[in-house]
Amino acid sequence: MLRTFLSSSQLSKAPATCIRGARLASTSSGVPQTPNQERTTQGRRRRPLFSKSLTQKPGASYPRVTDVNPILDAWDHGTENASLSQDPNRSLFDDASDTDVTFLNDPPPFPFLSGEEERDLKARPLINRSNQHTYVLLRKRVVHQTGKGKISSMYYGVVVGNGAGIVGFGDAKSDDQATGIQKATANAYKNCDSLDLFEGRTIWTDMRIKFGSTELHLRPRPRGFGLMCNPYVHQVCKAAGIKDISAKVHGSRNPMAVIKATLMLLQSGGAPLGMGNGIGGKGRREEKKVGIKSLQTLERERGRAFTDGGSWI
Amino acid sequence: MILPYDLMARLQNGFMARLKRLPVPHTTQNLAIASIMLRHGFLSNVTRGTVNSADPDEWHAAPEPHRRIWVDLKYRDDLPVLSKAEVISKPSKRVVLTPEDVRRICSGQMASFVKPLGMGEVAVIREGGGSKIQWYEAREALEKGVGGEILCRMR
Repeated sequence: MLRTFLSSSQLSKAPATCIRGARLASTSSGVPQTPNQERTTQGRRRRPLFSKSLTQKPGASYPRVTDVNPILDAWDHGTENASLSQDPNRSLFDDASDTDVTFLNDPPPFPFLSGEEERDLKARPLINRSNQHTYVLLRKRVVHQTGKGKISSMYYGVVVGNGAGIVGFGDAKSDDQATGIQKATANAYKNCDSLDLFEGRTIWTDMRIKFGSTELHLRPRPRGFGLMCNPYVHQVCKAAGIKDISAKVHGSRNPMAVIKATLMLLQSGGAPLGMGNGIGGKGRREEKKVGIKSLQTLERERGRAFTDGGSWI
Repeated sequence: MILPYDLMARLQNGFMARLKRLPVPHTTQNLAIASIMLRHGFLSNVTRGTVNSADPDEWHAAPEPHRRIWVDLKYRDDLPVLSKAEVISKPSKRVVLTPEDVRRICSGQMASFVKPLGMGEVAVIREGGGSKIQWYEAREALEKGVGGEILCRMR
């Protein structure tokens, strides 16, 4: 709803209120005042700022890693929990049995399909003969200098897609063309990912990325507009099933960089937190950014429904 | 007229550091911008408080330098909800939009060297002066038919 903010004169008269968003709470627990002050004027006992173990002699006891700091640990506890406000030796997990929380130890195996869906997928894969796009975009003669002389081979970069939201890029080297393209195509299939497109035909909002010296801008366009873009971006979009787009490449137009930049822009979002390695491996540069965020994702993040999208598509 | 550099920096740093709650200086403008962000889903809570705690009762008793606004930050899928908060109008180049300009940036066209608002992007426009300052989100200003100095954009 459209409400103007209170003018400064109104504000000075208004009582200091606690403006709440989604949650309602009768008390507001914030940072405890001093480490020593245990009780407030209302008699509510505040959790001390420092764990008691840290103030003891070194080696006396190991600090509890399950202790949760109300300011620094951005974890929604649901309600202002007993474990935080009363007993410093009680952890969040002691209260878990009181709430309806289920901890799943074994996540379902990817790609989370039912038996029937899995059968259908095996019978008719998402990229199949009728819808596959395979474009050999890069063909280079590369040379490996050794003690015995120059050993040359051919490098192939291939983009594959199904023209309906799945696209991937792969590359490989070989002495002969057939093997090279075959290997590159296989690598491309391995690197495929699906895209969340607006109306299945374009992106949701203006996007920008800088990949090395290559800067790429992508803009969504209305139905029937077509692909107004760099030729390499064009092929990637065609394979991906993007039908309307406007793009500009600033800086370097090196083909490999342009293809990688496009796919990084469209496919990112899979990088582990902090780019790994909490055992699981390093993050990949291609996964580094956020990727395509649909309106639905945005609505869920903000917790608001968008009535005016703010964009003319 | 004060510009929101401090608030934008604190918000971005707070989100990057994954803080749950963040104290910012208590000014009318900060309260206005925080209120707009709360309405648009970037924050989950806005409270008055002091340096030490987010207690509205203590705010009443506290002297002006000790007063703060505490905002609760939001995260989802391991990512902050606010990715970027930029100041638009600068002392070296003030940007004041007419109501027509506001309409353009809300509909995907550039106006007065201001890039249009992307999906989910929010801009704060300050209108008026002296004791009659009002802060609007860009689309609210559009509906009201007002323009003003475009302070910042957030996404």
